[in-house]
Amino acid sequence: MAVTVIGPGLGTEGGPRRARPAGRWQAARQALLREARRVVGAVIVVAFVVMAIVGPFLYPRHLGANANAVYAPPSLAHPLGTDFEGTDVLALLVVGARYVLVSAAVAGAIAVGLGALIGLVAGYLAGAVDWSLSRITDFALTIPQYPLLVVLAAVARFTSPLLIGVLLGVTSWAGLARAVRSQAFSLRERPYIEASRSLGLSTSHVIVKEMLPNIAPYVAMNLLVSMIGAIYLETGLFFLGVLPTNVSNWGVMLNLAVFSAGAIGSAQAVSYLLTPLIAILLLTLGIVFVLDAVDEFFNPRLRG
Amino acid sequence: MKNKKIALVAAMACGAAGLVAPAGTASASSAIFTSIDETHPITVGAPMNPYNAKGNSFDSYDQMELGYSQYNGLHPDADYPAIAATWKSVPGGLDVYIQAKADWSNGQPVTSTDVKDSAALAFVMGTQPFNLASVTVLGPKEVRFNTEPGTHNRLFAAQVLGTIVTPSSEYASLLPSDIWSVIAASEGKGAAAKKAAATLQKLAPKVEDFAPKTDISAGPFYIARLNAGEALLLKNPDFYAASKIAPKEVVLRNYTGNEEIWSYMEAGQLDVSPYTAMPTNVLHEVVRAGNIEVIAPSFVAVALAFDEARYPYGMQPVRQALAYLLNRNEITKVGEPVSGKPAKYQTGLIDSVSAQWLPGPELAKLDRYNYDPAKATSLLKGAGFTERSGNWYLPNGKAWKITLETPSGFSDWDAAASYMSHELTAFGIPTSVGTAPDYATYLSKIANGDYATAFWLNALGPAVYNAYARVWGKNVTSAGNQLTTKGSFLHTPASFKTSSYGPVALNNLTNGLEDMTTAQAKPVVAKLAAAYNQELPMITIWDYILVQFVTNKHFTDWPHSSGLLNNPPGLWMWNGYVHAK
Amino acid sequence: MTAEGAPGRWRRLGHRLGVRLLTGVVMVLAVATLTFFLVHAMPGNPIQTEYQTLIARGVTPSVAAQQVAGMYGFVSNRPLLDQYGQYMWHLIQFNLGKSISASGEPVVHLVLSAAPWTVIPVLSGLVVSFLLGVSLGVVAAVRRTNRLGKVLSVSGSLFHGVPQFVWAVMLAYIFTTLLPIFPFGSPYNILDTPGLNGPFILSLVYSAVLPVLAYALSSYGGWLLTMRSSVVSVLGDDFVLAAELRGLRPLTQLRYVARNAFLPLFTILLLSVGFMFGGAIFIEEVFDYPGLGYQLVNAVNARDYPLMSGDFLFITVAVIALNILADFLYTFIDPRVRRAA
Repeated sequence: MAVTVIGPGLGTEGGPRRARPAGRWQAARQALLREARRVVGAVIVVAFVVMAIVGPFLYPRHLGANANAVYAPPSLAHPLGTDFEGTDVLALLVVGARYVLVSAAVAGAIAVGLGALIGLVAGYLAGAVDWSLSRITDFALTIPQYPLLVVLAAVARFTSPLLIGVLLGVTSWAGLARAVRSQAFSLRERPYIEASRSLGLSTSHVIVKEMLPNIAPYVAMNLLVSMIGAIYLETGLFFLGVLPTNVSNWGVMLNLAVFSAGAIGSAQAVSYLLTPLIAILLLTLGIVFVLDAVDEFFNPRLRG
Repeated sequence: MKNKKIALVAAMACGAAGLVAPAGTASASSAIFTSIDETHPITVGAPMNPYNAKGNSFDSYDQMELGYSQYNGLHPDADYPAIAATWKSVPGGLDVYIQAKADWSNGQPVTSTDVKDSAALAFVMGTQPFNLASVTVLGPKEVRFNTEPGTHNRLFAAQVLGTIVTPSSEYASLLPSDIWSVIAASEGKGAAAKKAAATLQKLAPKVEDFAPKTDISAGPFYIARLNAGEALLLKNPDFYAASKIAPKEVVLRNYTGNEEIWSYMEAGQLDVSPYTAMPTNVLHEVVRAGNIEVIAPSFVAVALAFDEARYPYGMQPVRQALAYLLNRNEITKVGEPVSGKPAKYQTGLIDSVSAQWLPGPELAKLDRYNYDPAKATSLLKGAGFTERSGNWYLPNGKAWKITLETPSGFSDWDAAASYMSHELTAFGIPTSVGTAPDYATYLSKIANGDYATAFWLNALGPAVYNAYARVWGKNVTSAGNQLTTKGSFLHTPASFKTSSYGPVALNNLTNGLEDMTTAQAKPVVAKLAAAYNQELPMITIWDYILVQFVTNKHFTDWPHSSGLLNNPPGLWMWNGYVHAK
Repeated sequence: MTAEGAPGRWRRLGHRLGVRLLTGVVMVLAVATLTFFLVHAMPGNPIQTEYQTLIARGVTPSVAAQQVAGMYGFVSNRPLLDQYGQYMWHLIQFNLGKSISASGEPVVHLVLSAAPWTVIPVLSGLVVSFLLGVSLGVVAAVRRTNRLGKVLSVSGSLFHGVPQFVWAVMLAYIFTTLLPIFPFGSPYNILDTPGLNGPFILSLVYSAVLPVLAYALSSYGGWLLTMRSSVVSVLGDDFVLAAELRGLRPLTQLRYVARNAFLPLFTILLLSVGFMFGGAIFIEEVFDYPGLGYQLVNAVNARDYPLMSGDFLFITVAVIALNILADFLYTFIDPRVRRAA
């Protein structure tokens, strides 16, 4: 999301900020506990992570179907109703969580890894390397991501969560790279970086050991931001139906609910529509609230 | 903060508009007929030209044919009159008499020249009737369609009457003056024929791209204007049966997916809504909104077809066992609950056509293949299959796995395949659903022999020849013009020994059906049906039903006959139906 | 103004613009190349699709084959590289080819006829959300310690966190089913004669309410959060302190702060048009609103290569152009950058 890139946490204050680990944990706990919604956010995120890890083991590999209970309303047997072939919607939700989170995590890791690496290398090495990396970054930033993804998804027709994660990751690193580059620019002028350079330490050493820790907070925040983006995008692509619909993903549920079940106009199938919708909302909001805590942790100026 | 004020003003302007607009937007009055042309979504920018595949031209409203098929299973050549008032088969051709009062919406009469030029345009576009050689003008309102000497085509009249009639005042200038000699040359042989064919081919894009400035229609309506969501058509006062046309205006809405049509119906916005697949829950909402279901047979079914060249599907007991394992009632409930009916007879025809063609005792002899896992088990065991710890193994010892192939975007097939996979997996045959990116890829994969089991439209009608051509016909493999040479993807035998009729020459009998009268065809159909029932090249899952919806809000008197219901609503009107309330 | 002469400054600006334009053109060509090859890697075959549609409609196979050949006579069977050369050559002449699904219609026509239905709602949604978000962002920053500020910030996070298609589905559910007061599926009521007349404009606005609302709701949060953090960081700057010391009135102070905090947002404003164009894919699909996003998704589903690449290219070019414009305007507005130029 273009707006997120200039997040509130873009710390302009520089210098190595290496608080003692113990103090950090305490600060983190404080930041988290300061507001009730942050705790709620953390609980939601943990709940979904648990769901993703444990969930698929709670149900048989084959969820089963029942032609006589199609789009059943919520009941004791089916707390969230059933889908087009009588399969339990709760089961679909739980089983689908793994797909959603795995691809979001992969996408976030790739986007942040690529973004930080390219940004640091460009900012530290400057000159021709910077010029060419910056042009590539500009190019990647300029191509509108959703249309590109729609076209790419239609070509590739991936179904594996890992591949979807890779697809989303390699199309969303550029914003972070640009921001990291400008921070790296200011970092390389700092005395201690100049000192390491004059000591003859290798480029990779300076980048990884000296500069990366400085931007780590920012990178950590962007991991969360990228994950939100990835959840949005993958469920969105499945919702549009440009990816195959024979996988367990909330976006698929949403697609089938809207386009096959007519759930927008039918009260009977409404739980089928609302379940994935609310799951997506809860998960993104959970991450947003956690992000709020992380933001404050790294950028205490925002504290009220 | 000046900016904020603007924002508020903007927001208020939006809100105010929202509140005022309902009064401003005229709600459909009784003079406006609202529907959807399901074969023809609206394309802004496309010409108002019936020869353009996406042209804005709506059949039975502003686009007219000489006549319209009555969709009669026994008499596939019966037609409703339209621009042609009457017609008569004569030796060597068909005489067509144009409606005496037929006029274009600009007041000019519809003449034999219009019809002759329209036939030439059909040649250019490749939609001419088989065996048509030329057209002779016999009088201002009378033409003769001449067949190629020495040819016979039982459906010639029906094909001639399917000709779309367009005004020569608009289209004649697209044709060279010697068009009929070019056509005659193209029907010949050698270099001259090739050159003539090339000339025709070069004309086609010109005709297709032609964009008339106004819509000149011989139908009951003409297009006034359109946008991406709707087209507005006004009544054509010069239409030959204008007195029978109740609506003053027709609004045709665009659609891209079924859910869009459902929304319109749930909002009670359609006087007639076209054939749409829907789940039962949507049916309830649609009916609650005041829509009334109108049902007619639809001459098509869907089947699970096998490639008999692929192990183990060449084994007859395997195909039969699968037929006993698939609960067609339940599959239909999931896949096509509203506009599908579980297939009762496995004959290669839809049930109503089976009942028309096969006498009762004949029907009774057929195996129904009702859901019966025990029977399937015994068939499989008899064929050397084994069951161990809940899973089935092939006679060669390998685990049996099935992939049911469907094209993506066919949500009814996808749902059915998914349910079938649950059924088969529960029985002990791990089954998954394969999804091709689109129908075309799907068909070319079928033709390449990539699929062992795939969904296949069958029982095409109303002519029985078309139905059996989908199983044993010469064109069964055609997923496109370049694939016709490959032979049937089903790899069915050329002849099959039935218990009732002995050996039946499947391909030969099927191809012979094309030229037979109903009486001649009946015994052949009995043999082919018996062969289908025993050999079981494919399992018919459900017959489609033509389900349409009407509302009585603005108009009443809807047709009941299958023939009219299989045709678009404009036809209903000039046949005396659809009256203002 | 600085000591530097005006002509020199203009020349530098011109030079900068020239370089940016050139980069833009290179980018467009690169995107066109990418698009071309991407599109040709698509699975499926539109000609076959059309053929099967005819078969399903009851046309006999041989007639359908002839008809398809007539319809698609222009589809090139030449080697891919030749097609590429032809494509680029046509592109330079603003010829994006002919649509396959809208048989033979020039892609440029289709794209241009869809563009207004994206541009106008996107811009309206953007303006509404920007003005609202930015104003409330200032409030949220200045009042960040009290309840109002907190509520605003939370609303920003909440609104920002909700994906666009979720907004669209929720709005569709609420306003076309629960409270069916807004129309859908048509850009205006066909019964109103197009032109500069009251009923037509009203029906235009009325039909655009839901998409505009979806755009506005989905981007409001982002503006609020960004403006808030921008104001917060400006509040700590020296000049604010100086203003306080000089005893300027709070309102004047606020004007200083807002102006400085506003600058970075201005560039994002133009850039976010690109982002919103992308979001149009989801929003238009849900409301069946006939803009570029709707067209793109339909083109993808119909395997309409030329239309798909045309839409993608058009959206990308619009974004590139806005980037250049943003860069240029930023240079013009921000005194610091202007001096450095």
